[in-house]
Amino acid sequence: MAALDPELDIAVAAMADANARFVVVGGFAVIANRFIRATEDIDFLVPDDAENDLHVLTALRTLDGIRFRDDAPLRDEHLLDQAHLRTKTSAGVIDILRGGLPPLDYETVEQRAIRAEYGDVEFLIAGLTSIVGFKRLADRPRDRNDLIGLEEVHGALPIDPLPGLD
Amino acid sequence: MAVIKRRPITLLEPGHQAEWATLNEEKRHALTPPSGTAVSELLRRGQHLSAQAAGLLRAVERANGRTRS
Repeated sequence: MAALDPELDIAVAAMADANARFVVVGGFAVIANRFIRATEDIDFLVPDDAENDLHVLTALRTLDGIRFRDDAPLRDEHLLDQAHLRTKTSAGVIDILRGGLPPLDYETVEQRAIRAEYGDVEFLIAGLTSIVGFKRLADRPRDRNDLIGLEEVHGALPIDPLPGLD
Repeated sequence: MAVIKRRPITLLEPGHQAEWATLNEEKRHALTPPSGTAVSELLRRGQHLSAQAAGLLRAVERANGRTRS
């Protein structure tokens, strides 16, 4: 049954059990980088890789995932060749995001990620440089606030030029 | 033979403001508690989020927050 409260530990365990490659981004990545604020959902960055997409879908199905917009049971084409999939799951709302152009492509974000462990499950969370890039790109009021908060914690933030933005 | 690299299908590049606005509004509509939500429910949600944040910080600390590179 779908839940509204995000359960990151449960979502991460499901992704790991399904052998999916992913990096935690979004609000939980901000928290992991030590600016503590509320977040309503879980965001996973995934590579442009059809086989991995099937692993991600397996994980979402084990969490009773359904597509957010119409409550449809998850089908492969909801993620394959798609830039984004939003789901309702028993671990809360989970957004699956395809990596962007360097330096916000999956491989660069993964390479710069920090590690974390829930029990025996090791997983990756976007590092500060990647988060700053995502926030600069999105540029919503909340993103600007995150940048202010992260700067208070870390000092001057690392800024990579972004294609089309800088 | 030249290898043509496919441009990634992504919203993480400039020019997708309209899609993001729709996605953000969809999420805000679904996840913002209604104004009549009981304080006890707001507290429960807040405490749950705090517990998730604390658990995540412990998870990073356990792995020493090592970067991959």
